[in-house]
Amino acid sequence: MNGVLISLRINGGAVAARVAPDLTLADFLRGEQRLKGTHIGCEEGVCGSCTVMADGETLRSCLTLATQMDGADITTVEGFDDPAGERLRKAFSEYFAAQCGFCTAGMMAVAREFLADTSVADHRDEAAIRSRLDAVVCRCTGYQAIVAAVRAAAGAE
Amino acid sequence: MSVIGQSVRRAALDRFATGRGRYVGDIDLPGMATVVFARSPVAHAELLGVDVAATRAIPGVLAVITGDDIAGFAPQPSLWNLPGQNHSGLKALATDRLRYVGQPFAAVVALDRRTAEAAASAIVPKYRALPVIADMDAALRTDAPRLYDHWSDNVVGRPRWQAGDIVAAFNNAALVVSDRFTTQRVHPCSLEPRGVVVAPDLDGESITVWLSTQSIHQVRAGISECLGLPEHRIRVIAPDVGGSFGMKACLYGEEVILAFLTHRIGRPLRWIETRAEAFVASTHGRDERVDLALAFDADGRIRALRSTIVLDKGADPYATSMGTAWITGAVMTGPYRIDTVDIEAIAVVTNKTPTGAYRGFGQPEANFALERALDMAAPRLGLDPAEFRRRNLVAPSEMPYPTPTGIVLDSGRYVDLLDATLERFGDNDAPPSSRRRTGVGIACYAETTNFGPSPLCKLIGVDSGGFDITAIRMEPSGHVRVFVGQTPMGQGIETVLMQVAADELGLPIEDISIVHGDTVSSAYTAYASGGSRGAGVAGGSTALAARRLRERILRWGAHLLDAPSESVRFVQGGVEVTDMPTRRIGIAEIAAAAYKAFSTPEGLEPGLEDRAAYDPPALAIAYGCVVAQVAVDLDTGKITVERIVFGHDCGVQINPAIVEGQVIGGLAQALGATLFEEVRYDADARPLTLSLQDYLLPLASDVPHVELVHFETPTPFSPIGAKGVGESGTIGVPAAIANAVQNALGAASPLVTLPLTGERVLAALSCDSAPSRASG
Repeated sequence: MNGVLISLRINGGAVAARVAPDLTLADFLRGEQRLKGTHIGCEEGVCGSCTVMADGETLRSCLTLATQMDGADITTVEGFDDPAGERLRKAFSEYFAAQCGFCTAGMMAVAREFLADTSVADHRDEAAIRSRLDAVVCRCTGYQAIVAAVRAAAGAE
Repeated sequence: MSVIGQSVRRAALDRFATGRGRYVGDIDLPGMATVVFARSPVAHAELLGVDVAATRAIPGVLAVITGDDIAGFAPQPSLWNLPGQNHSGLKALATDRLRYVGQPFAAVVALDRRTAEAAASAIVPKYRALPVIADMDAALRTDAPRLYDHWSDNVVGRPRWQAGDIVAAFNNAALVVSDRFTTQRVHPCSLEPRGVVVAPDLDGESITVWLSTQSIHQVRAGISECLGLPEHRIRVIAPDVGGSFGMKACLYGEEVILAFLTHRIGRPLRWIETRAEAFVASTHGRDERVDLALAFDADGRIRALRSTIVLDKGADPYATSMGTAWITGAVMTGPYRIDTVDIEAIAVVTNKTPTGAYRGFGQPEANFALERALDMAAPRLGLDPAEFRRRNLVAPSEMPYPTPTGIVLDSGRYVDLLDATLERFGDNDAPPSSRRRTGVGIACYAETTNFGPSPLCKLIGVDSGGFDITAIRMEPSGHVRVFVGQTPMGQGIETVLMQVAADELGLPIEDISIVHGDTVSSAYTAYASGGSRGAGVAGGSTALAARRLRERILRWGAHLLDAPSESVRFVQGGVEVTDMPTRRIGIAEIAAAAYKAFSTPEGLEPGLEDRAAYDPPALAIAYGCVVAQVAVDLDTGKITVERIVFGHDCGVQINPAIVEGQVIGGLAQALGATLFEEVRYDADARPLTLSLQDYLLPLASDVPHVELVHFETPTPFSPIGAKGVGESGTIGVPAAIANAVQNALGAASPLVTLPLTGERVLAALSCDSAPSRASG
């Protein structure tokens, strides 16, 4: 079989796969891995809908090759089932922090990274939250509900 | 406690937050192939031929079709057909002429996306370039080339409204203010691009279409018309829709082509729009120029309004046709007392991507002109902008107030809301500095919602009914399933309609489920989810259907209690004898009995099902008031929107959190369109905006925390008193921000063109003769 052999962890499980050298991480996750929660909005790294976490940091899965992820530990929205992830899920749902839901996975990944960032003095600071959320475009909410959800999740920690 | 007015959570959000959304691009079917379209590289040309023989021979390519293969198709239908307007007759693929960059002229089917894209890009049309119509002025020139040979000019239509003695009013005016106000071409830019999946059904004759759309029945009708395939052979399903904003309200050629191809090839097919493609293949919004003149008397009362509106419709007046320009004309008088008008709306065709429905639909364009003009007049009349508006806003005692364009301002407390919003705003306390000025601006608006009624649709040429149907069924367990015609696209209408049903039936929301977005199982709606009509119109049909079901349950309850119908009453969770509440029967028991039918009441049939249609008697007019505070950097012209207080009245709020999300979400889109969003073309009508790197969308830091002031004035034109809210955030924001910027800049030349880029602000400042000073 052609392709490059990679082994990595996705949402806590070990994965080994042969992938085409130019296959993006987004297409790998959505295709072979059947993880449709990661959405593709622009394929040029601007909108942020495809953002996932790799080794605790966010990255654009549309601009990342699957082969670059050999050895990485990837978490997608489907894997946000630990306490930090569940807090975010609950807050996003309770605060109406999504409308169409297309950017939600990317927003939650960025929020998760922000809430885990120990260099942030106050995780409830609105300007700090908005600045970090600038990494992902939401066309529906006007962001206010998302900011409220992130503040709530910060307060629940 | 009633569930109306409660911020009931949307169950969909639990799915979205766990990655369980299901969008059209998530659908995988066995044997599915990929479709890619070849699109025109030129703005205007005679199409001489498309040689696809080599493309067909590429391994992995299953089919290639061009305009030659669709000769039997009917033209793409037009939803909005004003009397006397011109039609293009264009079909799903270009046949003899290319009329805009991005117009599809061939489609490739291949086993995978990579092969399909490579094959499509290798198809080069033979063409002979034609003179280009690059903008509305070029289109209107008497010697302009014509886009359509069967038209006498490039004008789609030109409706006109005239009332009162306009000449006398202007001749006798104490002050006349006039200018040209331009709202630029923007992209609705849903984060999920458009997409279509189709598959042949097992009967070999029918097809199923999964589509990111807000208008399943319109699309079904359109595919049927274009292909001659009857509607009972077409099933259209809208899965989760990743934003739409009007852009996904019409039938597109891609949908017809995929329906055709799946029949021909016998395979499931998928087409997912790329982002670059979205900028040329999905309808744009706005692109209207409004010439406006207002005549005032010495007291600052508006005596008359004269306006000419020009809409750049792009290359094809399909779908909503010139509807946006028509609405701009119809709402030009806004919430104000104006009885003398002369308004003409002209739509022209140019060699650009067609414009279509976009959230606000002609209303922000009118509001920007009117509210800017009022602010330009106020100082010349020696009036404060708020007092000036108070004198002209229609009072509750004058309602229902018919405007000279035929809109009826049904209900509202316009002046009170303005005052409440200003009170909440307080004072501009932002500190100015030597290189930074601050300012405050106001805009008031009235908004047409609850689109219908059907006779109005006919009157204004909309080829669609304006009603909605809801069917409702209580299952044998006593739980309720509601079948609606509306399609959720993020706005939360599914939760809103469940709340209406729960309230009417006295059931907890958990006992209600809803069916939507599927022409086989949903109820029918013609106009669909647009025109801010979901809550008011589908809420109306849902309430009426639920009331009928309640009456049916009551009769079953009386029968089972062995009591006369008039002696029982409907209570939370059951039916009881009015003056003997111990004689009571629960909903579940009634439902079980109705489905066993061991003993059926006289005049009833077994089962508990009802339906109702609701056609509103008139539009419901929501309204609002926006107060914006901005800071302007004098070195760069950059505008920061520091604060917005938004006063808003959409009648009865069914779910306040959803209302708030709609207002603020629309506001953010309007903020982007006011400050930086613009789809640009060069002088030869070649698109310059093909990427989100070229088209800036507002980010979290661009949008201030929005403070809302809510009134609830029920409309008499809905059984539940609800007016629409979906478009409200878009209408008054551009004018409020522009008025605030003008207030900050002082004596600079008037800002009349959107977006308010740094260049435009600096250009306005360069005309500033006053010394640098702070204002506010």
